[in-house]
Amino acid sequence: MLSRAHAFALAGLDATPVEVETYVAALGSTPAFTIVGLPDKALQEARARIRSAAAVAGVLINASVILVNLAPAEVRKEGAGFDLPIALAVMAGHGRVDNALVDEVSAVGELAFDGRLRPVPGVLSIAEAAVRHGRPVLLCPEESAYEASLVPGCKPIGCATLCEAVRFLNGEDAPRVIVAGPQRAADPVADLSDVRGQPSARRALEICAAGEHNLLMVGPPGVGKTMLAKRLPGILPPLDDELALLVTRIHSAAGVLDAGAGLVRTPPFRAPHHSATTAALVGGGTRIRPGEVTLATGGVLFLDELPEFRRDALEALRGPLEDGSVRISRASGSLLLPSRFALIAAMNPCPCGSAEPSACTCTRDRIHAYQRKASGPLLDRIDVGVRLGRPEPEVLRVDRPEATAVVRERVLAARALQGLRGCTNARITVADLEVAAALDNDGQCLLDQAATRLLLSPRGMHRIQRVARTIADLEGEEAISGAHVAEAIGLRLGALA
Amino acid sequence: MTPLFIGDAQYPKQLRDLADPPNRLFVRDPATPERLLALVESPIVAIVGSRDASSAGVAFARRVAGELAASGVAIVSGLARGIDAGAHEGALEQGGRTVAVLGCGVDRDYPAATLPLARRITNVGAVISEYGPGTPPAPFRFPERNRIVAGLADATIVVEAAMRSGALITARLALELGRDVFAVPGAPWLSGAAGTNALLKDGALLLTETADVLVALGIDPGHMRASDPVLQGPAARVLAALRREPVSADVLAARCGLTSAVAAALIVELELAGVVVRERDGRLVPCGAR
Repeated sequence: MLSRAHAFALAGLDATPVEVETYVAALGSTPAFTIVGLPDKALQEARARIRSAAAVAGVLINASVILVNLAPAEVRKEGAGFDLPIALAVMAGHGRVDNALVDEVSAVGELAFDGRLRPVPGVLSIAEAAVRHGRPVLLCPEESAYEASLVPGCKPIGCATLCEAVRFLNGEDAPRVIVAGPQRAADPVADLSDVRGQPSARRALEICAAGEHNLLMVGPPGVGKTMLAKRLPGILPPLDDELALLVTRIHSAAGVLDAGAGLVRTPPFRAPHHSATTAALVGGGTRIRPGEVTLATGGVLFLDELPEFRRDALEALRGPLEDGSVRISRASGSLLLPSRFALIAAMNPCPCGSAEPSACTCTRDRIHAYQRKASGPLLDRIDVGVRLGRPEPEVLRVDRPEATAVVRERVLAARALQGLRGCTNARITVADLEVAAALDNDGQCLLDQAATRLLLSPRGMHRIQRVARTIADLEGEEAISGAHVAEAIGLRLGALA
Repeated sequence: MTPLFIGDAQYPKQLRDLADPPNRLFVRDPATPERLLALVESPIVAIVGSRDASSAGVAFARRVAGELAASGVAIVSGLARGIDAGAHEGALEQGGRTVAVLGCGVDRDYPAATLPLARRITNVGAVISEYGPGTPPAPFRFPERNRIVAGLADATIVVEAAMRSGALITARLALELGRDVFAVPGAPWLSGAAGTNALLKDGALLLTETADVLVALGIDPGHMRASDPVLQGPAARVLAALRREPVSADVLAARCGLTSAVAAALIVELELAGVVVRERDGRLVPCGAR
């Protein structure tokens, strides 16, 4: 007997429809259970899980001949998410449920031996594909139902077990009410007011948040570089609906989403270790996975100990930083993934990482090589640089750091001004700079002076102009004055030195 | 490039005062012996000092070199990073009347850190050496080279130098030739001031502004006065605070009661005006004579 169910194969952030065709001969020749259609190892092992789960549901399939074809045949299928659709087709083949009913719905989920359903990554992408391909009813694990319900038009049916899925299809049970999982209180992002004694670094962080500029922090260990970076998501604007859905989809596909937490609203913070490979950073692998640049979309990518990263990994970051997307090509195909994030890099002033400059044991050449390693591939892409020293008692006494909420208000106001111009300041094109970031006389004078005295490249001057635009936006001023340009030049010098 | 021999007409005459003048000199193309001669026959001053000098020291060397060059004085130095590089750059900014003396073959790209500088000097000034093409740099060649620096110059200025440094060797050689030696004083707790202060104790001339040298060379320094920008308002206050003590930007803002944004903008304006430099440790140091 032939039966059919509908599943989806995940490729990057998108899912493509897969038809699960099943031939079941309940009696007769030698028992067999075969899956064809480029299944991976996990999918091959579905046979054991389905056999056990079906037995728990009261269907002994040991004696049957079962052939499963996953079409289209040339698309690779991966993961345990195919367990449920195959099991449903098998149940239909054994007459436990009318195949016409199975044919109308989409299904995803991993089976346990006792028939329970386990959540799998990428449900959001699968739900979207289910709606797009006209089968909006999605049978899925109970824990994933809320995630799928975030997609407009999708009608997820959360099931605890295979039996429940079958009973629902047969109309014996009403679908469960979908409840949001234990809502994790929005990540308590630490407050900016904790960072005392570093007023200029806090200011640089605020400017970067306001204009989406990339930031480099240089300072000895323990002066607060990581503390500052971790507080950036708090002052970034929360993700809007469109971006939130995208980020949630990315995290779902990568399997890092908290089940039931709903849409990701706080900008993500990703801090890969400096031993990360190129594939881990930009994405890749035989089964293409999103890398850190994609996971940081909408939020912050923090690279601590920048010069310790592998040179090729840093080189690979240039494209994603510039384009806001990354194309990953492998023998199995090529994918375009989003990679729009704010980069924060941190490094020591010298390779020995001594706390005090006077205790440094590095030779001039070693320091030079260390700094060049970081600056070579990335400095072009960094607008703002700041040097941090040990907080001095004199500064600590008078420094009254503002709370995250206060700073965020200013950032939001500056972003609103940029919204009217159509893009964040870091992304103003050179052609638009003249209009969008016109300097007044003082400002132009200063920039020209800086260009000749500091031998700035045209690109460097554009970067200064963009940052000056952000500084003026933070003050709510339309005109960019000399003081704005001067501060921007100072931040550029911090990146160069 | 043909060597310039000690008997040639274009050979710098003042080198013959040396106890062991170089028998031949090489001039790196495209500079010519004629151009070298024009440079060394005008008033010429050596500016030397530490390679690991403070930013303020380098800025001072640059400023003095620039002001001397603007008064028609050529600058000779050793093309090392730090003070030497600052001196060459200051002269280049004022037309490029500068001579770099190498401690290796004249065709060698050494030191690497000042490679771009060497190219600019060959185009308008002169890069010279007594060593034939291909001669590698070696420790003993640098003191030998210093005698040429001292020998070419009518006066030698030491800006920053530790005890037992190459700059002090140059100063001693200049004294032996009976030429003027100037030293820039420094606070006794600064390592870069040890060598110059020792020179001053031994009777070197004190240099706090370019006019000190010009007077010794018999050039009227009158036109140089009041070349500093006149600062007003908060910028003047910030500079005054830094003159009391060089501090980091954050401390400066705290002392002057400014927000870090305002302080940052003022500091850049002072930096661009050339009156403040930033040290590697982040401290801001006023520079220039006052």
